[in-house]
Amino acid sequence: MKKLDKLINIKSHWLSGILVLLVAAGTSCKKLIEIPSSSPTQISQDDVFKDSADIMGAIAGIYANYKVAGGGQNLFSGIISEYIGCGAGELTYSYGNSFMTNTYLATDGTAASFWNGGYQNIYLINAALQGVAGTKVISDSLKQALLSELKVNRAFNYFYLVTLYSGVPIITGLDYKENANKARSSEDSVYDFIESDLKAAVQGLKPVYPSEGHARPNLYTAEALLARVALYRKNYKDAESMASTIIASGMYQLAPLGQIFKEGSSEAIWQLPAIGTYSQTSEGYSLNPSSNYSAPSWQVAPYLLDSFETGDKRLDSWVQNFPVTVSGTTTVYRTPWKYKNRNLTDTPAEGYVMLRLAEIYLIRAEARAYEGDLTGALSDLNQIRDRAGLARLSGLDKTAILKSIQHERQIEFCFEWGHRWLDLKRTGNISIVLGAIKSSWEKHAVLLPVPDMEMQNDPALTQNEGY
Amino acid sequence: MQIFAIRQNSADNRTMPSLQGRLISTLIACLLILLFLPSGKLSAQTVTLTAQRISLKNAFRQIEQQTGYSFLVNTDLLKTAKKVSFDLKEATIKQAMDACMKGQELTYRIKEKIVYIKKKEKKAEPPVNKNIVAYDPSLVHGRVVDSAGNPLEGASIEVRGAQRGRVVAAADGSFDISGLQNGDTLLISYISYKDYQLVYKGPDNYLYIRMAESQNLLDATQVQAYGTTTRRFSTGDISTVTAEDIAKQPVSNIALALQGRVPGLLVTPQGGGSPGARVTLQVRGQNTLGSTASTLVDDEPLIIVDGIPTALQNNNMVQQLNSFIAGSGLSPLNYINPADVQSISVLKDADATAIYGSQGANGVIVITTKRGTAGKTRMNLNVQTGPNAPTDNLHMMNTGQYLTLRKKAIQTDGIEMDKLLDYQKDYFEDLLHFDSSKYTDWVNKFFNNNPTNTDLHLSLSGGSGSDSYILSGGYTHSAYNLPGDYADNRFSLHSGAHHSSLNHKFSIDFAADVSYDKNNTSAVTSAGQAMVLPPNYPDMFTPSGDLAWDYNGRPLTQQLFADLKRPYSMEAFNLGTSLNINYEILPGLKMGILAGYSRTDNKEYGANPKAAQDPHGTSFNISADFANSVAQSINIEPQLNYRKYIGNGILTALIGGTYKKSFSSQNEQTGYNYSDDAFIHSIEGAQQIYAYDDNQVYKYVGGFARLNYTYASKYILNLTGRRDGSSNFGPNQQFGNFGSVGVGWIFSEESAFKKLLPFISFGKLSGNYGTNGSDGVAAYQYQSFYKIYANNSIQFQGIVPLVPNNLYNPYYTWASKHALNIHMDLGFLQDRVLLGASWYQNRTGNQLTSYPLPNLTGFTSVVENMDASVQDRGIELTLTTKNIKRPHFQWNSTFNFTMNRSKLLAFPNLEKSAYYGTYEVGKPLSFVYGFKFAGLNDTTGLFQYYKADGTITSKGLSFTKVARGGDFMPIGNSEPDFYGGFGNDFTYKGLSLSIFFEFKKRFAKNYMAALYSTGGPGSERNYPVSILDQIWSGPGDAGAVLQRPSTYTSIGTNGGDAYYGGYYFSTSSGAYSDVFYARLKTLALSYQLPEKWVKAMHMQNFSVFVNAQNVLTFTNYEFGDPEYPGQLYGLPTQRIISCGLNLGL
Repeated sequence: MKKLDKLINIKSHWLSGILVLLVAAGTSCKKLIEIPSSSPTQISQDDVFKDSADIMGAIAGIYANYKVAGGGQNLFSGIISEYIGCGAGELTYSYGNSFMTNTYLATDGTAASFWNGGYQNIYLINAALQGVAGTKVISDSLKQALLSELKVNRAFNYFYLVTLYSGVPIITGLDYKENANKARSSEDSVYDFIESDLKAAVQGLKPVYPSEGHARPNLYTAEALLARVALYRKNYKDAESMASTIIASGMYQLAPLGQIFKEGSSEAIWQLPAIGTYSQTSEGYSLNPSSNYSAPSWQVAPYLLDSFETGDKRLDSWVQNFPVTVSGTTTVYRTPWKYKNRNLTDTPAEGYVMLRLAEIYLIRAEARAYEGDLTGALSDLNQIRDRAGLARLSGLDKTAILKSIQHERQIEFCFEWGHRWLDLKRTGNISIVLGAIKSSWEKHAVLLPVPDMEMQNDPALTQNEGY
Repeated sequence: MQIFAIRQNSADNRTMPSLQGRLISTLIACLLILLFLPSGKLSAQTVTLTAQRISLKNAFRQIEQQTGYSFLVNTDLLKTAKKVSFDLKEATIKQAMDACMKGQELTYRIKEKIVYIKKKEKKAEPPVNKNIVAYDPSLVHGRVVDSAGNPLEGASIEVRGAQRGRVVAAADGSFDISGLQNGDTLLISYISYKDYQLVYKGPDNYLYIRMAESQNLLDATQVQAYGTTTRRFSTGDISTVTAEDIAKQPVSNIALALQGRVPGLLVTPQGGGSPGARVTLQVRGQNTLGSTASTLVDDEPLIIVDGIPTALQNNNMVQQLNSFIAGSGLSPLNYINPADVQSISVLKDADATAIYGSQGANGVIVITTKRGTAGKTRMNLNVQTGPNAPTDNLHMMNTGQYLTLRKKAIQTDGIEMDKLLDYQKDYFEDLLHFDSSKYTDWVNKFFNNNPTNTDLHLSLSGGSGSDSYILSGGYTHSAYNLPGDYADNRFSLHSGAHHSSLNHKFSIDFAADVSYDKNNTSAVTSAGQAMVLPPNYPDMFTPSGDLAWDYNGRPLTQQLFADLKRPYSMEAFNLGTSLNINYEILPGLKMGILAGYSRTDNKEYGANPKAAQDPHGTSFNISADFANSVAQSINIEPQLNYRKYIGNGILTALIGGTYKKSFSSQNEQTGYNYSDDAFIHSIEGAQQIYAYDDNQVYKYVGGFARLNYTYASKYILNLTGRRDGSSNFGPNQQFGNFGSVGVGWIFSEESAFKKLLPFISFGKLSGNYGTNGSDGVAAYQYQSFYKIYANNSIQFQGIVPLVPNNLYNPYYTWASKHALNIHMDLGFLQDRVLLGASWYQNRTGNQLTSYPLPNLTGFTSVVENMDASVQDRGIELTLTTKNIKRPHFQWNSTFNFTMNRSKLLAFPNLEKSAYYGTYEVGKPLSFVYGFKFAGLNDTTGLFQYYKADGTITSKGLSFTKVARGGDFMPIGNSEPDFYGGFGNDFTYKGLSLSIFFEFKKRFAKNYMAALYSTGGPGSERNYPVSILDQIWSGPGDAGAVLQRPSTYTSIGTNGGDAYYGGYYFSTSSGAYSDVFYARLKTLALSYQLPEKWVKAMHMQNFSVFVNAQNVLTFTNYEFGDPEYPGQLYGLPTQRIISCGLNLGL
């Protein structure tokens, strides 16, 4: 019996000990799985907007993500100039691509990158908009300026989405549950949205740029974009007045041909700095030949070369004659040359021009022509022709002036930001012009297909006709 | 004095020194004395004897004759005694006897000119229980030991008949039992040992019971969660692969040794099984939804080595760099030398895995390393070496065949060669510029280099008393079959030690594995491209041996040897330790702790030297990439075990806790613009450096309990429960409860059954149901974060940019899996035929997954619980038979078979989700959608497809599901229909042969899919010669299988038509077929030298062997490797043949 007692005692002693341990373990479990509040390479979204330096980091993040200097595909990494340029018959790509034949499919990765890049930019902008609006660590005036700057950026992204795809979903919030099921808005409402963003931005922006150079939008950046949208929407009066404000400001001068794309260009209304990992601008890196031993990947299409007037200085300035010797035979290839720097080490540095004064002159010329101010139209047009070393035009009627303006736009903005494609589209000539030079042209190619994966992941989306 | 004469029993060696026993012994002793009685002549007192290897009996006779001493010995003992050698000159009887006893399991005692020989007792006399004060004549003490004399803790000693009770042996094997009466029957049983029955012939107060291990597979030890069990008494589904099975396979990765051997485990070697490549594992089907149906989701099981979860689990070891195998990754399991593994148990159902809680949701793979056994020091050396070669070389077209096809393609596309534009001429280099008479067999050149594999393994083990140790070292060299010196080299050191205190109450086990692995491959991403190079492609080396970059003044666009010149290497240093300490507080109650630390240090290097770059480029960028990563895991598990016989049953209980912390870090530096190749091994020479780093942390706690009651060896109840917390979840979502119930009924133990179906020697029906969870997401995903953009490389106007890192979703929590398993085990003919059958159903709800999102949301995925439920249902069969069981000839067979069917059970609002394009409720998870193939149009020679409206076309199809306005229709289920293995082992004397087949059938991409994955026959790529007669030859060719030849360039009057026909093909039903293969995975032949010879060489073992892996393949697959259906351009699976010898010293 004594033995048994002892046994029981020992047992209960142990059991109570275990019980205590278990209880202790239960209460401290939460403590045991505590981990640091974040990993060393990240910071919580709330904390970002509690610190003014971090807020500027978030703003800088938007521009960095544009990938102006390579490192991935984005709307701003040159793909519009390159691929949409191919689509518009301005460039050829030696290995061929679906844009040369306008036979892009919904599964085409490049066709999808316009959409994907645009919406990823828009998320960054929306996140910053929400964070800046809610922050208490910056002054109201800075807050207004930042919100306005962000809206210009958002409008710029939507502009390319709506022109490439027609009506797209308008995303303004961060809630993925809502955004993942967004349907497309009409083309008009997207344009309305762009205009409302830009008009709001005009209220909050000043003529002076918020940082060094013309890297971050000022008042005139917003107005330049407004002028462009007004022209696209055939709102010539607004287009004319916006353009006039910018020209009258005197902040910008047409630069000599060789200076337009250099850093600190006097013509640039918006120019992103482009010092990156491998190259200065992506366009400079990819459009210039990589080897003097084989045919360059990107060449200027014969159709575009033929469109230059005799004596146009822009031909020599923007189209390179690139000799390649193969098997003892030398062939001279014509390659795009607006951005001349391929390597990081090339000097002087180039910056990526998003908006420039020449366009404002041509917007005003077109708006004036439509409004009947033919003299004013010709005067603006001749500003551009003067610089190109071409004879001034005079005495033309409205139709001839409009035709000349389109021709001038074709040359002035050749392989630059897809201008040619958008101009052909908005003037309704695209099928006539491209149908004549491409046997594979089909009408539906005027709009890019909504990416197939996007269709899969957002069942509310509808595909453009023909895909 | 007490004389023990040892009574013989055919079953075991048990001493039973009862009084009656003593009487009998005395009788026998007398007989023996008579046997050895001296013949009366005078004898000297010394011994002079020189003899080599004579029997002990012979020795005794000689000593007897010389000394006149008599011997009292059991003759049976002499049979098993070792031979002895002498060189004695006038030795005393004591010296002579010492010489005789050297190395014997015997001892002697001399008294009054009689030498008593008896078996050596391992332990001292029965321990005196201090608690017993007064002598109790009815109290019997005893000890249960195994054949080596080690105590069998927990053995049951039951007094049969009157249900008077049962006692359990303590840690030192001792037990006390009271009230025994003469004639009582005792049943002694212990897991994995043969039951022993004994009739008590009292009074006797000491019983020494020696038990023999069971040879029955039902009783083989199976490692389960925190303990061991047997197939006989387990209620869970556990499959075990043993060291013998592993040894027969010349593989360097243990995961490969599991292929086809474990029902329910799908083993998929990546990268053609190239050295060091990852092997993905999946237990019982897909539990998690993935964004695409065609690629299997990694539902990787938990990997435990000696009780400790490994730091890297089965994740890809390669963090940053890319090479052709890095795409699928290098295997973290490579650090374990298969020769150091004792067994691998695969735990599959809730009963077996629920105790691991959330970690075990995808099954558990428990690897147990080898341990030493106390006794003689043993040294074992295993050496093997042999070549490897592709299992199946593709026979590609020669130049003549190739160019003929090309010209035909140009003709059918309507291409006028003289009207080609400059850039278009690049598509026709082979015709316009290359030498039409040159022929190179690129497949042979790239993939037929017959490298050698070598494996060395040396182990040392032994110990004395209750201590044992093992120490083994290994070196494995597995070479890539590529031109160049590329190989995976592994050095491993395994050690294990065991100690228990003299009273066996305290025990400590420690194991440590250290290994170093260096894998140097090349940064080739395009090795497979070699197969499709035109056969007249120019040489890639100049006559002087440099890389050729041009041919006849034109650049070479494909310089595949340049890829081989881009170095890549990975060095991994691994450490795995495990410590298990146990203390028996009270009889049956044990307290223990299992703790371990696992660490992998990984160093990667890759470079793009100038030597590998085209000298004609306008800019070089010499770069090098340096990456380091460390993964660590600490695991601490205190445990309390209790074991008690209650009533006619045994109760075991386990309470424990888990604390686990895993943390890992990576950093990478990439240097650009080196001035010279000489500096690329250092970061200092780089003109620009970009850095990247990251780290992860994971903490996990849990409390668990298991309760098992086995009644009358017939009825088993097993309950487990667990509460887990994970740091991967947000506040209030961290904890989850899991548990399982298992029951078993050994119906063959019912007397009625025994009478009715006597030929069934064993029958068990078991079932279990339980829940598991999963926390398989990365930390911090529930909050939204900003991170530094890219790295230090990008600044915007002097500001370091910050970008959002992830979306905000604080609500996700444990996925939940409900698993039901029913299992039946049947043994026939004294268990010579064993059949096991399982049926299971797993349902995983609250799916925790990276949910694909449209880019509209700013991201492409978010971690989310989905209100979707996935079901896996299947059957598994195993059959093991001992077909022939003769003394010299044995033939055993094994067979296993698995069939799993997955199904999407429910998915509310599927049509509004991103999974709409991939899944359908009621359909299997691996159901494939694509274009419905309408065959070849024998007029146009083009592939045709059905559009949604039923019309047939070759062009203009839309890649979305019919329901969403496209042309994608259901094609079929691509999960394996069934898979399994079939093996036969033959042993004839020292010769043994083992043949093992792995088989699988699935609806998968066929060879045609591979042909049209890029271009198609007629394009500037080479194709297997066997397709030539399958290509459409002209209008009316109804027997053709493949499209008309085309250049697939959309040049020419009708080139575009064939382009689309081919483009759609690989996503059409035409690209899928039923693929079946049976592969002779392992062929192992070994010869063990006869014992006589081995002994003569003073060895314990000497065997020679030939092991071969992937020997033969039987398949309906046209060409290429059926294990990788639809892929033509991967590294081919290797056939490894390895010869070697095994020496035991």
